Amino acid sequence: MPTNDRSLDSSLPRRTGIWLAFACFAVLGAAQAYSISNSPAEGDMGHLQKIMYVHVPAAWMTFLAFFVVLVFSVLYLWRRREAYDLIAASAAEVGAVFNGLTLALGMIWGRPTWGVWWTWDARLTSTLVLFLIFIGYLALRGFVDDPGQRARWSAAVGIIGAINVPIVYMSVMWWRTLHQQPSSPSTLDPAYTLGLRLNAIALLLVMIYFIRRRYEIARLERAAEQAAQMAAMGGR
Amino acid sequence: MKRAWVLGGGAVILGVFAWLLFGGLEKNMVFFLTPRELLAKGTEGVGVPVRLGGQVKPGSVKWDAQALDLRFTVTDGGGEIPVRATGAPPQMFRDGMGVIVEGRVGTGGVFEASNLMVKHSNEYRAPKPGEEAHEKYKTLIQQSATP
Amino acid sequence: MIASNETFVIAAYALTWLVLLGYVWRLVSKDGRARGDYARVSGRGEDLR
Repeated sequence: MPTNDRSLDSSLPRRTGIWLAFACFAVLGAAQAYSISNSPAEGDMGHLQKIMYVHVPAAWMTFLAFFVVLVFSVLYLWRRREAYDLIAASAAEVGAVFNGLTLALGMIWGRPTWGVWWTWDARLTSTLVLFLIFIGYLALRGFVDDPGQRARWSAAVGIIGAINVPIVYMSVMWWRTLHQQPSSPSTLDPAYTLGLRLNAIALLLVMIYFIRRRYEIARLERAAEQAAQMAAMGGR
Repeated sequence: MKRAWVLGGGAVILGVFAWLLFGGLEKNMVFFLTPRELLAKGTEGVGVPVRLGGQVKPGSVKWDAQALDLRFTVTDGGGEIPVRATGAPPQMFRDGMGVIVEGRVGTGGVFEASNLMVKHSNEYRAPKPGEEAHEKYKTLIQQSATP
Repeated sequence: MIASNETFVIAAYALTWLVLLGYVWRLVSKDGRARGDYARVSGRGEDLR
């Protein structure tokens, strides 16, 4: 038992420095400031185009985070290493945050441009379904006490949820929607393309920081859980 | 007990997921009909709630700011349906723009819109001097008219 | 007429920062709680031994 305790202590994760967070957010602020001040008003929607720099990268990070969930859920089912389960869970939580942000920013953008906050087209509906699945994923983790069972079940839900990502992406190609199809550098003013790329890179840094930090905390929580179990066994 | 909860919750989540994907979405698979498609329905398309999508026919917009009465024609190049809407349109509404209207075709053949949505393309450009026409919406609507 | 374009742009950026910094705050408090739990539980473990 003492050896076990020591291995727990040595594996106790350190705090990723707060300076890394400051650096990520500074890059994000700089990217936003640069792209806002260098974007000319758009022909149809004027300054509303600038919402693109937060809405679109948030959507990309949602996809990316859930892709991480997919990879580490599959890896967990294959190798059964607890770390994979915790990474998947961390990416799922961060992805859900970006997913919710994407939906909210889309509503803020839709009201003045489309004329409605929300409509049940395939893109909007499938994005909401994606959000609900990962809310369910996080709720499931809270419900199941047994770590092995929790990991297996959430890996299954995580894989099912991540399968939805390509559906969300392709929805505007497969079905008629109010939401437009993806823009590309050929349909964007070069200034907007640059702004979008800068903001995507900045938000990627923020997301990496989030997932990493959340993973460290998840390991801490597991260490506390294990220590509690051991204490309970020792008590008996 | 907890296991029952989890299984129940999981079943509910999967059920909602399946319903949304195969039931709820199915109904919205065809989010809007083009004028040609709606006209092809004949009397079946009259009086039933439907979404109509197309391009605002250039030169067709009549806006009475006093009565908040908006009239325009939606076209997909093959068919045209006159639309009547009330209330101020979204700021991007203009000649040649893509629109989706919710409502129903009245007995007079005029589409009574209860909701007007502007469909933006995936193009974002700063206006060049002298650039005016919104030709891109014509191709946008024609693309979406052929499934 | 509804609020001006600038209001929507400002709202979008404000919401973004609110959500991102809100999540940082959640991480910090979760970290503190987990560390507290670990210290408490492992401390009790030593007492029992």
